[in-house]
Amino acid sequence: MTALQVGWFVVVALFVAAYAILDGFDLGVGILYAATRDREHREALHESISPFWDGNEVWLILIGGLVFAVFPAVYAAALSGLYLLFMLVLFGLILRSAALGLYYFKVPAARRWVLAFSGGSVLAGFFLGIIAGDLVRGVPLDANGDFAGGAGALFDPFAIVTGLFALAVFANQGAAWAAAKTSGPAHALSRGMRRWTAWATLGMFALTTLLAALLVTDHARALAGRPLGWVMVALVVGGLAVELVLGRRGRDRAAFFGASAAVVGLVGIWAVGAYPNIVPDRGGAGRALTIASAAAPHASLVAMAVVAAIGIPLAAVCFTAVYRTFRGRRGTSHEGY
Amino acid sequence: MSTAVELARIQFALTIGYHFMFVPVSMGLGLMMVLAARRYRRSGLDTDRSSVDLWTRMFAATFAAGVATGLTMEFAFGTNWSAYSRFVGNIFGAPLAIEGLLSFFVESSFLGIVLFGKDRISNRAYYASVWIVFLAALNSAFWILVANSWMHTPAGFAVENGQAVLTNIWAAIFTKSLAPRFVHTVNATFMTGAFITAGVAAHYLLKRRHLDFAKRALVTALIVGTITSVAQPFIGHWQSLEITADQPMKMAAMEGIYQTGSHQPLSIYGWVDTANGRAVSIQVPDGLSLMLGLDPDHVVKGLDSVPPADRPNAQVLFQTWHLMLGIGTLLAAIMVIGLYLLWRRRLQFSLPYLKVLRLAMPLPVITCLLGWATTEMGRQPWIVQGRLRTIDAVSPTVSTGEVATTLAILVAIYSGVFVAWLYVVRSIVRKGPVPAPVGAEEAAGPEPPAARPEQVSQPGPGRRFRAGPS
Repeated sequence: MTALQVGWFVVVALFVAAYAILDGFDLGVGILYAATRDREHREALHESISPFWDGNEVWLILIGGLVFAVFPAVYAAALSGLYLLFMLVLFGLILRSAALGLYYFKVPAARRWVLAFSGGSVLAGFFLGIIAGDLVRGVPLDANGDFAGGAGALFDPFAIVTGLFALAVFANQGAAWAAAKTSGPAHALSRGMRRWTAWATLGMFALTTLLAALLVTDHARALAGRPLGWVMVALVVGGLAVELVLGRRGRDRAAFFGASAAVVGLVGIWAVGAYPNIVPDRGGAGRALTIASAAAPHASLVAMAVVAAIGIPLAAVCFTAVYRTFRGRRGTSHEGY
Repeated sequence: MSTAVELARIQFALTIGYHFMFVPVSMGLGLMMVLAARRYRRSGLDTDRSSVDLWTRMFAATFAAGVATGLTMEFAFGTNWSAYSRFVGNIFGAPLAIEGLLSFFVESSFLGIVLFGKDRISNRAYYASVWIVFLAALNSAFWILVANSWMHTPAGFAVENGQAVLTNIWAAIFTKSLAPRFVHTVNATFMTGAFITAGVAAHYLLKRRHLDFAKRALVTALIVGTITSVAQPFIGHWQSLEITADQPMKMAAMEGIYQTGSHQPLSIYGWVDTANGRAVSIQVPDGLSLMLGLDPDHVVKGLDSVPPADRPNAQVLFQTWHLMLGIGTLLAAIMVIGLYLLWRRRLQFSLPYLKVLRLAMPLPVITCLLGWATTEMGRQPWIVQGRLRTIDAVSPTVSTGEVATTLAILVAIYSGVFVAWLYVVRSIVRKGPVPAPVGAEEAAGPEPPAARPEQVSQPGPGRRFRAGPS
């Protein structure tokens, strides 16, 4: 295992965290959208994500491209092995982007698409969580590095729990974002949502940890044996505590950063516990896809590192431009971006 | 080929096909958006501002549909073509990742600014953002065609342990088919943009609405359309020469030529008699030899130079290729006639011609799809020309039932997206180039936001465009 390979593993993990934070909040807004009946609140929720969601989704596309280029064996095994799960995520994402597009163009039929926006967000969030659970736990792999097992192996209790956990995490991101971007009655409603989603996230974290300690022992043991693992756990609990405490005092931006820190901690828990594996082998035959075995040849990793050295600062500039242009709260319900 | 491979191919073709309907429209409208923005920047007139808004809205709607349908593409290689992904991932995945890093972020971020930020940024920044979106779209087209071209003319790698290993990145990026493919494709998108613009303008002229806008848009469309549609056969010819050199079986199948030899004819219209191995067609004697070698004695390879298992489907290729040529010629004729009418100042009074323009709107998109089908099916039975067969590239673990199910859902969702897109574009065209834009601004109240005064846009120099009723 070379330093470059490990470096790419870290970069991919960071991209996953960036995706979960950013698309997390707009998926979360979609999930919460169904939970409010208030028209003004719905409008405010919509507008809080309008200029952002499309760029946020790019992180997922990028993770796809990066894993394809730097860990092709993982790209091949995970996507074909978890075929239906990924397809369901994609269907959810397509539905919600169509709904958001129709909403933007103020198409009269857009109301009927509420279901598509919310339903698509729930579908994508839930199955992303199941995928995460399956990858943490590992899947049965054959000698070729392909998934060996029926679809039933993908829906075990642990994965169902991580699916629900993901819904809670995304909803919490969404509520924290909405609370920081809205004002007036919509703001008060969003703050209420933030409180219960933060508690739900904390509860689901405890439940998932417990299940992981019982069911995903390899991962749990590796994590517990590494100081960095404890840092990540502290980041989750500390981030959520910051969110709850500072959120109570009305510091909405700080609360959002707290929630986001917890997301970083969760992705970190996966990465630290999985290292040096990327996809553990649940079959027990030791066929795990490791960082070293799945990595692309050296020349490709170098080439991609050069591209990343140009592309990541460029992405940072773009995101700064967008988030600066649309900084601050939406003033009143009649004044959008 | 087995059912699993066939289904995976159908799913992939449908995914890309739906996506590729929106791509030329959005890129072409992107060009129109930039041209309109340029005019507006010079004139500062509100009417020009309205036309920028119209094209931007249509661009955005199409772009959104393109993103929605394109999302699956980034993952389709892993889900359905895992053996292919494992074989070429470190080469083929790179341009996809580069496209994301160097283009998608820029594109989506600045499109967000263009659509939602009009009142938060200066005119100069707005103008720059429109350009950035357009250039990012071109950049994106470049990288995806880098990846695609590599499948046709693979280079810059060596096969080690069943994996293609990158040896020369520049050779892998700038493969032989990239330049003609890129120019041909981008020119086709501009042509599409010109026809969509011309169709919308003709529609307004026929309905006697937005006449000033329509006349100006039509002039721009006719100029861009004539240049691109007349240039397209020459660019296409360049690509034909490249195909003949690098993928001779593709060219042989396109013309239904079975026997290698000189004095090969060029078919105009007909079909391939696959049983007897010949093309039954109206043809120009020696045409193909002349076209490819400027010499009737020029030898063109026929399908018989490779075993039947290595040949593409001649019948399908013959039809898609000749249909593309036929419609392309028709499109060039439409544009040239339009320019003539414009010169004689009879354009807006020639109602039949305007009706033709309106009807012609979908034709360039169909032509793009035909060209795409020709080039991709001409690569068969290979997924990487000469290196990996499509049949060996499919995911071994994905069952036929799974692909069939997702295929059915995909068709349903994509058709929904397509209908929604048509609906949105129709409503945009109905509203027309009016100063009141859709989106948040429509609901904008007169009062400035109270909470954060620093967000209120500052009137000042460079804000000239924004003045006037909104």
